[in-house]
Amino acid sequence: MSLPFSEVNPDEIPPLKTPGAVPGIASKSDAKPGLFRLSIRFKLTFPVLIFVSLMTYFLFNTTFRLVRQLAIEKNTSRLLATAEVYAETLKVPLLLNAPQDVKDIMEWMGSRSDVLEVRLEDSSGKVFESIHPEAQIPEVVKDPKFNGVFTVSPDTYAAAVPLMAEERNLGRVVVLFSHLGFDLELKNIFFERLVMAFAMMVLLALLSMGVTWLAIRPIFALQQTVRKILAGNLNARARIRSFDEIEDLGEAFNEMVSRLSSSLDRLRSRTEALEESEEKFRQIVEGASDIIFAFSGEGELMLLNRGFAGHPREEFFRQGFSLFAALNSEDSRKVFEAAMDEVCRRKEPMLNVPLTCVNAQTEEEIFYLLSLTPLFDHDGNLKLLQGMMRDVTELRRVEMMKDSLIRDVTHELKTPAAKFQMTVDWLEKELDRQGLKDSFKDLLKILHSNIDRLMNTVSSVMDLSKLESGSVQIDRVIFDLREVLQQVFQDLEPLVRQKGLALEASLGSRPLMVSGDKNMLYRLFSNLIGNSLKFTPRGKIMLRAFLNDGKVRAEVEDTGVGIEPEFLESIFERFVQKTAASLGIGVGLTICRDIARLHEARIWAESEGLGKGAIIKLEFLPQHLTN
Amino acid sequence: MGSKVLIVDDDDELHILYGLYLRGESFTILEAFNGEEAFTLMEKDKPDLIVLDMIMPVMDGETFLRMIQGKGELKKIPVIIASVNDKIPAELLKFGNVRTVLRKPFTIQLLSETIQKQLAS
Repeated sequence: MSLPFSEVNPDEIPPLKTPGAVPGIASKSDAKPGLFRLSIRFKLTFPVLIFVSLMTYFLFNTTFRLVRQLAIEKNTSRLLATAEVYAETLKVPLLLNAPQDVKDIMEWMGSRSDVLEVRLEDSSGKVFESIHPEAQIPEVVKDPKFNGVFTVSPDTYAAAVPLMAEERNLGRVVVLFSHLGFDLELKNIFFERLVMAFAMMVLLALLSMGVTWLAIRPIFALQQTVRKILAGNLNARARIRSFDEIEDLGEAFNEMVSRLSSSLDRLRSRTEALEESEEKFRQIVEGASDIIFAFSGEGELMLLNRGFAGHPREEFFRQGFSLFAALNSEDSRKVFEAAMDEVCRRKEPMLNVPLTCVNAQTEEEIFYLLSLTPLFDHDGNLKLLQGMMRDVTELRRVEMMKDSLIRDVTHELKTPAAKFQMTVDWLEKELDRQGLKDSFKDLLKILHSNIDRLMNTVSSVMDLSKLESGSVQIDRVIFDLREVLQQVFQDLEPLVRQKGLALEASLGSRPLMVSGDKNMLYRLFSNLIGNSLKFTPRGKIMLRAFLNDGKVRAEVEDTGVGIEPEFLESIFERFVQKTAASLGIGVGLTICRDIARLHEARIWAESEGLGKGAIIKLEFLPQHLTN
Repeated sequence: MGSKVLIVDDDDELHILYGLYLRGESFTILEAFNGEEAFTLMEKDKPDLIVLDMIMPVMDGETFLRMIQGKGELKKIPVIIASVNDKIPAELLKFGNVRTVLRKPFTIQLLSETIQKQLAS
């Protein structure tokens, strides 16, 4: 199972091979059907060409009309002049009254190819001479009052010129000119030119195709580069030297590719670094000897570094929380679930919760210490519940072995010693009965004191061992300390009195509630009194208990030999003794200190100096603060 | 005083030691080496007080105590538990006949005093 890091495979970053992903670059075969495509060359040239064609045609047309008009005017004026000349020429023979000359002249006039008819009219409009009488004269011209040129068609004109002789109107001369084919010729000329123009247009079109293609070529080069990049060559760049916008595009494109490429490289190297880091941490986590796991806020198993208790890792991921719970023995399961609950609720870690699980395969018990740490996001919601389980089965086994060892050793030491004592006691009694006690007084004394010493030493060492091995479990009860003190007082008072001292107790009238182990506290105070007993030759020992500022305080004061200031702290150390000859091996106060520690109570000594007695004081935490 | 004290303990040396001392104090001593034996003895000869060791073969102190609770007359006899064990189940201490617990090893005088005290009350 991966750690909650995203897995990014740089090789899987899509290389944009999907067709159509880069619009416009799609080749013809990739083009979607129905998509109309028109090359930019056509888009550029066609409108121009069409416009130019239209303009050309328009120009030609208007020019043609203009030229025709001009030609007609030119013709009419020329023809008018010709007709006037004719009229003048004919006037002479007419005035001379030589009809034959008139006719000859008219014949001659009519012999011109472009003269269709020459006609003479008298002043009333009657035609008296005509060379081609069948010629069609337009009605307008027939009107005797008409003078000038009438354009029948661009090819045909009718001119009528009055014959004037000194103010006398002799009539009219009507000439019909025709230059057949003139118009057609004109049209042909223009048409020819137009055709030529269009031919030029076509050439121009072809030329522009060529030119545009050349201009477009850099775009192909760009296309080429893009294809290379798509194929995977990220170093491909477009080399475009077209001195135009395409070159700019090429440069911009290159820049873009470079930047993207370096971003990609950075991303890749970061991903690699991330993967390396992830791998490293994965190895560390999976290699850890403890079981490391994490649940999401919704209770889904996100991480587990190994399987355990006879179940493989996969099974845990399949079954999740329920398998974790089911692994436990019955009581342990409640503890486990309660711990999970509490951590989520209180939003605080819980450490070293003891669990008992059963190995699914071997059915052996496994002991774990569970530590849970909640992790929260910015809004304070539970993001991850991280846990560690340490297999302490071996440790526990060792501890239990230690415990039983200590127990056994204790037993093995104490029992013989006790029996020793009992034997000596009986012997003493028997000798006393027989009246021989005095003879053996010294021997008996030696026996007694040494047995006491042995017993004490054994007890102290055993108790200290137990305490220091950490294998002592406190039975935590909340009770009135005065109970224990009362008991201590009762039990030790005879002993103290025996030594010639007085034991006093002042326990107050109010209950002094503490949380702890009655037996251990009994031991503590009897040790303290025993200690005082050792160092107080005469006077009294006082046992006090009271409330001080909400905290329970207990004190043992004596009128004994006192403690020098430099020893006030060290007396609680192991094996530190006032004098070598003192009874015991000097662990009594150490035991007291250890018991006090277990109860989270403070213990210290006060003394005004040598010969001024000493007080050992004990202060418990205020009740509501202890667990 | 002539009181009968039943010592129930699997350790024969202790029997000798207790016996020597206590007989000297004018107690009558009955000896049993386990709970079962104790029962048998008690049926014939009811003691005035029992000194009970907890760890014994055949029938241990706890079982013996529990069994006694069912026996009308016997359950009234005061019992002093003498044991090496730190942990005596709280339940047992609640039995009416269990007067006190002496932790081994104790001095024989202490035992004698305790016996006398319990018989007196």
